[in-house]
Amino acid sequence: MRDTAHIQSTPAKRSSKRSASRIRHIVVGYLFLLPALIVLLVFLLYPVTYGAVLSFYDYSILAPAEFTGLENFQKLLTDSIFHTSLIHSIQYLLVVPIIQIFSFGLAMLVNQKLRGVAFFRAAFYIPVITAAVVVALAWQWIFDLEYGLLNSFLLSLYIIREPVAWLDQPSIALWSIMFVTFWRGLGFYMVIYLAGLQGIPRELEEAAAIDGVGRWQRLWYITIPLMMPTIAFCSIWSSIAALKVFDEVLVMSRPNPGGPANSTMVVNLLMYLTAFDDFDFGYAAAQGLVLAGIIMIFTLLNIRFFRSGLERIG
Amino acid sequence: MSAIRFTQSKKFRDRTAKIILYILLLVAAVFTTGPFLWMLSTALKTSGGVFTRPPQLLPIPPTLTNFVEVWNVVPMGRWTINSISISVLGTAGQIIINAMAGYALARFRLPGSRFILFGLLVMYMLPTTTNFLVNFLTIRDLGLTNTLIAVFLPSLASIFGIFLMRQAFLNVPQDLEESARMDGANEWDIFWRVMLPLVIPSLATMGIFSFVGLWNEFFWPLIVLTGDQTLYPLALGVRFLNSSFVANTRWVMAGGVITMLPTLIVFIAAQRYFISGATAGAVKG
Repeated sequence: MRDTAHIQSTPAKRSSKRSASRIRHIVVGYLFLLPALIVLLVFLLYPVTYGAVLSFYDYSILAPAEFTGLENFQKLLTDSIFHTSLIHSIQYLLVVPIIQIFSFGLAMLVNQKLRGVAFFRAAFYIPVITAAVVVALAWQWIFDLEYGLLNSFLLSLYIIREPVAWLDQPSIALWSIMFVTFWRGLGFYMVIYLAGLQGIPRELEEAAAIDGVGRWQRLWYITIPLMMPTIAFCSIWSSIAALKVFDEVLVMSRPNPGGPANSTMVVNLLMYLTAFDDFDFGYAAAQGLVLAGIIMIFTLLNIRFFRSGLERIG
Repeated sequence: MSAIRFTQSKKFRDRTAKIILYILLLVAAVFTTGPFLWMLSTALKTSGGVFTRPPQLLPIPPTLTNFVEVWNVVPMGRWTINSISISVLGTAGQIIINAMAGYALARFRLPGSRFILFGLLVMYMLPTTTNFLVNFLTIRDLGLTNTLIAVFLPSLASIFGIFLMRQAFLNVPQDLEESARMDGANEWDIFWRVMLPLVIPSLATMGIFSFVGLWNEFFWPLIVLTGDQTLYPLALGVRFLNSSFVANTRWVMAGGVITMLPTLIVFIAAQRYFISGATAGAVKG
């Protein structure tokens, strides 16, 4: 606060002057906040609420919306494609533990004091900064039935006898795409785990090593327990991402999105097709709401980890 | 004697461990970069080199024809300009808007600021699965369908960015601002000329993430750029190229290389910001 004691003025005058500058201070502050608040209200808060409202309407964007109550949700109960997509989205969660195990392993590797380790860190991170579309195209070519790198590699090692149709066989296609998601996520979680590992005091492990505790025991009894909050955070984060997967599925599924024979149809893709192929926005919103409900479970788990953030503010 | 033997064997063990570590690192590096190298190799091949069994690993002789051809067959130049426009404008906007909000929340004693902070945290946790439906309608009502503005408009403010900037401004000492105010600088100048230069590392972190995110964005531009292919950013363009009948594998791979090159360059140039940014979001959050 400015020192105004040397100015000869009555207390009333002084306080009115102060309150004027206080009002000015508040107005300026809110003006700085305004652009962000507008964007967030219009494109984040409003769509979350209006999306829920939309699920009770029949809205084809060409005709005015018509209130239909629970009709969309009743339709969901008997819609077998929706059920399939829901099962696929839940199946997709299987990538989560695998990503976590491997990215944790990578983090342990690049946490070593070795020459050139920074280069490897960067190499592991490249898939993360590359567009999912490009990643999907690269893998689509590797998965190619006749000329793909994967089939010829596996054939040469006699692991398979005949080329596998990685993306065209309904029983395999979703697993192939899940593999790409796994591949794409490794570096992202590696960096988070690396930061976690570097936060563990070295003396702890060194002391244990001097006491003759073996490498694996140190990992199991010291490192992993200390890393539990990070592991939980990453698992939840990656579960939410897996439930919302879209890019690689749209690019890699064929002959039509979600194909072959709906074997790669996930909820987010079905929503997109419902809205922009069938123009059934209300029904798409109802599908999205079910997915939101599942995501909410993971988010509530996450709140435990956000609480520290809340306390900092308070 | 036995002590010497012990140190020798320890040295030997350490060296073996080191070799094993390097082998593991190398295998992992081949695993994470191999698909891109294969993409590059295919993009550099002549038509004869692509459909061979077993696959020919190296592009011998290498050629740049595929890059030239794909540039001419599809509007690759146009798509590149679109990607640059979206990423640069969106990043600039996001930096300014988030920095302004973070500044207000860190440096102004506002009634209701705690409510706003709490509100932001709650909004951060809302499941946004249906947002693209409503945002499409909003963009349509604003008359912005099939414009590049529509692609970055919804991401101009990010809660993560606001918190990052608030944290950065909280760490700036109070007296600089005070003295600027004493000198009669107006509020915008204090923000723009005095405060903003002090948080450049945080701006860089946010800017880099925003740039890469916008460049790679696929789902949202797919929705708001409904018809006109000349408006496509590269990510949509290469997917269009992949699904069109004229395309061959070499062109698609060349398109992929062109699409990933800018983010790769940004990454190599600004690696340390990526690492610090990724951990700021996750570990502190």
